[in-house]
Amino acid sequence: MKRETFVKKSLSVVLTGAMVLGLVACGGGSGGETKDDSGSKSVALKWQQWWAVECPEGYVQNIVDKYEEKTGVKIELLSAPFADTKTQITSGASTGTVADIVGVDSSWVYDFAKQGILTNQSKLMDDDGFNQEIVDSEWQVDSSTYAVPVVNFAYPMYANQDILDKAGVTELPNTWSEFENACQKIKDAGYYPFALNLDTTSPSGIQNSYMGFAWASGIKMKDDAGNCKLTGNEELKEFAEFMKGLYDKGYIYPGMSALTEADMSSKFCSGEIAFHINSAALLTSYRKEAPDMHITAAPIPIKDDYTGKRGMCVASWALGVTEKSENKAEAMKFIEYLLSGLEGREGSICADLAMTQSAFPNSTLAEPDYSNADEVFQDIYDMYQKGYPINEFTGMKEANTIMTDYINELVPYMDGEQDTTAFLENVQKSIDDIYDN
Amino acid sequence: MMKNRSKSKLRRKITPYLYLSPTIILMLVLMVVPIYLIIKYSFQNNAIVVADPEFVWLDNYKKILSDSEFWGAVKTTFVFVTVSVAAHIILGMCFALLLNTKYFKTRTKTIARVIYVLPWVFTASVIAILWKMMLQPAGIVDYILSIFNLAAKDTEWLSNKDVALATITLVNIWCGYPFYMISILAGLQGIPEDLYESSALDGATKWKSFLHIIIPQLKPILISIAMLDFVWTLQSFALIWMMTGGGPVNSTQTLSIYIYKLAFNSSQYGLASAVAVILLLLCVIVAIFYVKQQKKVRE
Repeated sequence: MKRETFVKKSLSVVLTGAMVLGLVACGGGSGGETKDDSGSKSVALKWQQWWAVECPEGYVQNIVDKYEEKTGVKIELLSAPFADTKTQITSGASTGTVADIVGVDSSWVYDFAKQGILTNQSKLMDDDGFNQEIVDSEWQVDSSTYAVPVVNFAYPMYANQDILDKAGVTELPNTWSEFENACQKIKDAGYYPFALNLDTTSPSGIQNSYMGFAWASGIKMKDDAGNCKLTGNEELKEFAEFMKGLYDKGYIYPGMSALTEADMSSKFCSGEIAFHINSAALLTSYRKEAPDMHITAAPIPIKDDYTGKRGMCVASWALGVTEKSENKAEAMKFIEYLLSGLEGREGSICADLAMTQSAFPNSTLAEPDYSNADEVFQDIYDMYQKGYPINEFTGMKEANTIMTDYINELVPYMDGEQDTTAFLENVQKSIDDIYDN
Repeated sequence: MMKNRSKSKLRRKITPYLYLSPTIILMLVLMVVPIYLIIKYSFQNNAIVVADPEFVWLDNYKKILSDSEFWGAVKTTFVFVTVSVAAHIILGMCFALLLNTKYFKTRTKTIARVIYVLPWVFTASVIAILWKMMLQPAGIVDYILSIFNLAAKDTEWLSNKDVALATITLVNIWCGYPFYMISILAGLQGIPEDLYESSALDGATKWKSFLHIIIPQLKPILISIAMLDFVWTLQSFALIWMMTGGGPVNSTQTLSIYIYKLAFNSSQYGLASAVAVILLLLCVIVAIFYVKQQKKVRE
């Protein structure tokens, strides 16, 4: 054999070997057990999430490194942008390569639970003796917990105080009628009073902005048993008519059905919109985008005769344990560690994560120190503590499709193409169809 | 001796396949396997989301074909594709004729060519952001049109379901015509000058020259690019998704958007695959015509 041929063949063998090894390595799913230097078995977990992409560089890695130092349990991060995480978890579950711990969004939890991707965490927590009273909320499907939020992102109402001053609005509106009066003054001053983001690329506007407004007044789309009840829901009807009134009077920024959350933020920063509902986490970017703007956190206006606590829409970063995991108990322990530390008595990790991400902790043990935070953020935290977190879309089947269908019925209603009763009946029918299939 | 001869014969036979093997492997991995998987998923219930999906024969196709949203998407796709392709041909031809004229100097033509080709250079995301900003209520388009009393100040180009489809079609036309322009211009420059001269001697008008010389000479190019454009526009996703997301109220929901929503919003991968297979069949039919057309041109 010629030397050149020998080199070529050897190179081919090496390359093929490397490719095979690479494929084997890529196929690895849940962590399993590894052996340490002394030969004893140690647990290795995999954690699929989008958190590391959104947190400061190395922040999440630092959390798992410290956990490994304390417990010896190694956690490998599988990070991807939020938009790709759902697909990766779904496909990973069908091919058996899904991670042990997965980041879960409120709109996925029902589908993941029904598809058998997530395991029942209620049993895991009971087995572990985890004190569930320390968490503000758990995400349940059929009365069993399938994911536990670690931090909550609240959706308050922001106000551009400069516009309010120019329009002569001296006090932040507290009720629907005060809000309407303020809107009229703002409109007269040449500004857009309120924005509603009803774009369907990411249909969360119906949840955060539209229903977020309703939840403040205790108006819900579900009955006490947790079933969707839009048909014949007088409070929801009254709220829909109030919103249509705002639209008909020209108080809502035009082009709402193509307005994304990012568009809405940009319009607010450019000083075109007086009020809008958006994530508290965006305050930092608002300060950067519009450093001279006088921003205030306004309470979401409530129905004139409402006296109860205000609900505040939340979106959360939650975690679930997968059914395919070989180390469910260890995976659950890590989630508990994030909420209550190793001994189950302190919430410093949760508190720090909340402070880093301008969020609020889901653990009652966490005591985040917001004293150095922006004053507006502190106001939002006060409102959050005085009210209660709510998101009725959490745990709904195909929540994204339901939100899209809701928008697709709301837009023609606002345009006067159907009446309130038909609008709510059609949304109810869409939800029923999804649950019947 | 015999053994050596048969060995070299075998080697000669295998050699072309060895040269082709990288391409064959790539086509297998990137085309054949995904297409096979999509066809397989289209016959399964709960494809991808469960480990053992049920084989449901044609149930997914039956469901899709009885869904009014699917037919709405078909109608939207038909309007979007036909109007885009027709407008691309007309605009591309006009600009190509303009650039091929003798009345402009070479420098003017070069500058014009650079300007005209610009829309084609931008990626779909840049085009979507650019146009979305210009078309927003009280945006620059509204402002310019309101100066001439052609539109109201707050015209909702993308959020009014009566005009949203026309708007995104217009944007698609804007970004797609340069491909036609360049292709047609190349064709125009290849038409022999003596054809024009002899037609001029016979007293043919410009219009008659266009109809009887330019069009027949460009026919193979026009058919080829129209077929390619048909397939590309049929698959158009990023531009529509980024501008309207298929809304408002599904008025700009083409088949590509419908597939995406079924798969990634509803996790109905089986149904999404069924629609993808229908779209694939449509593209295959056009591709067969395209290949036949190319064969004719070569002959």
